[in-house]
Amino acid sequence: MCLSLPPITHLHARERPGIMVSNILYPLLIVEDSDEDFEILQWALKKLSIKLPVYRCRDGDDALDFLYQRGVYQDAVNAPRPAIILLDLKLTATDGLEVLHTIKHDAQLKMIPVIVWTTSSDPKDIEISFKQGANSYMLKPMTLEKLLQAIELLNHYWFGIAVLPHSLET
Amino acid sequence: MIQKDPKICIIEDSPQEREVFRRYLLQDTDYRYAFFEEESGERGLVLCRTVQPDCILLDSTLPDIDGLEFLSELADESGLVTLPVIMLTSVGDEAVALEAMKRGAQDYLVKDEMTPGNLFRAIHNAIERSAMRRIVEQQRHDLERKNQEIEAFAYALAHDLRAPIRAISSFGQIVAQEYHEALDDEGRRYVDIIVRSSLQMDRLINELLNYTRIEHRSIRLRSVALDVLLSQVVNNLGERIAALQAIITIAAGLPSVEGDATLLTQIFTNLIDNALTYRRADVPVRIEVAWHKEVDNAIIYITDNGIGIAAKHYDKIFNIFQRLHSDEEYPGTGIGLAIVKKATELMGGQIWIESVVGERTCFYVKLPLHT
Repeated sequence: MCLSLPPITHLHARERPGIMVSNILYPLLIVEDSDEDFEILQWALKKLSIKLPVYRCRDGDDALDFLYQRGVYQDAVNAPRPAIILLDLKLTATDGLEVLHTIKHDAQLKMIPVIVWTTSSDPKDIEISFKQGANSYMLKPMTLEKLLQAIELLNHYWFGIAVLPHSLET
Repeated sequence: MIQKDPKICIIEDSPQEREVFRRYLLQDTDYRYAFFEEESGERGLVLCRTVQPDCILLDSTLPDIDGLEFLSELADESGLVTLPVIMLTSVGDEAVALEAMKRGAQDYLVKDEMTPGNLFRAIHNAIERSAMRRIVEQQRHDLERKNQEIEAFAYALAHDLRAPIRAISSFGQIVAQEYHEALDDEGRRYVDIIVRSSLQMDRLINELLNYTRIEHRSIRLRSVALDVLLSQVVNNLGERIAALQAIITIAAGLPSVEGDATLLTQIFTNLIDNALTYRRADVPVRIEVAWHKEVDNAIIYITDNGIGIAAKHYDKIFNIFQRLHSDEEYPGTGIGLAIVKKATELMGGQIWIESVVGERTCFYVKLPLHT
């Protein structure tokens, strides 16, 4: 179960097994309204050879449908329970904070770590997010270097170091 | 904003006297009044609160509560009587009249000395005051709305404007990195310009946001240990400091001040960042942070060995968007020092500068010491 990892700075994309601790592939849900931002994230995942199954929702209502497997996501195969959620705050209609509130008030969904992924450095947004139970709060980096670093660290921490609920079940 | 039919509340237990006031006021050719009347204090209070009259004629002796109690009841949470009250007293009641004025009555009239003339004068004053109050109220309301608009604007800046800039910058960087070979020198240079400009624009928006946000966030004044704060600030700037091999000396025993940690971080980050930016090319950067006590205040000074600022620019540099150099010479947005000044003043502090061109600059920040 435990994979010893070399220090992160010495990891080279080609050698990395994708930091997968077991054969379970952890689904990553990205809630992001901007196509560009999503494409950049996908680019970074590819660049880092991180092979997580990625699901994307464009707005808050879409994300809630996905999480509750309803609407277009009635077939559970298309909407597996995500291991991690990357959540943008400023979404059309139902915004990120409402999605966060719903997740953290649901007995089952609240177990999923939610990482707020936003441009807002407003202290109010940071405070509200953590009060609502966000597990982390990250600012979308402006340079590719910082973006790659951030995604690599996220991957390393959540899928390499942290133990997620249900991850030890076989 | 003169009202057409001013509303007058008459709180008076004697029907005969109410009749006299009404008769007097009907002779007033300037206004046509609408009258509202009550005999007791308690019911009078309810009436006044509902009607929101332009003037209240208040008898100082009522069957239930007296006029002074009435005034105290009428005051809002902050103890202010916003409705204009004219207290009606009897001869020899000067003490009551005086107390009424103290408690926020606008005027008083001695009933036995009342004439239509002095009643009109008192009421006209009260009506004017009401009108003024409504104007002020309206302006306050407008101001509040404008503030909300500014906040919404800042919000739009933060999200809607930054999103496309981030896309330009990110894809520019991808092109520069991944398609390096496919471009010739000229193409590579152009892409670099795109990336650099978009990053600069993002910085500009970010600082503009910080600047507008400062005024709209509530300030939490508490004891802040400057030695801890300064080491955090220096730590955050670690990359730049290391790249420039700058030497930063922070005096031992920096005090605790009464301030807001977020604002203080912004102040010292900007000042040290500036010291790193406006350096002389021929000497290694040296920055010193020290302080001294002046009565109940700490004066913290940040001295660098940089290019210096001419005395005639001392005030100007704190203006928003004011720059003394081109972006090519020294990159910047012209917002940093405006944030520093505003943040300092919001905490009741002061900031000033002393400099020798080509030698050094020293920023002084005066803040109340924590006692």
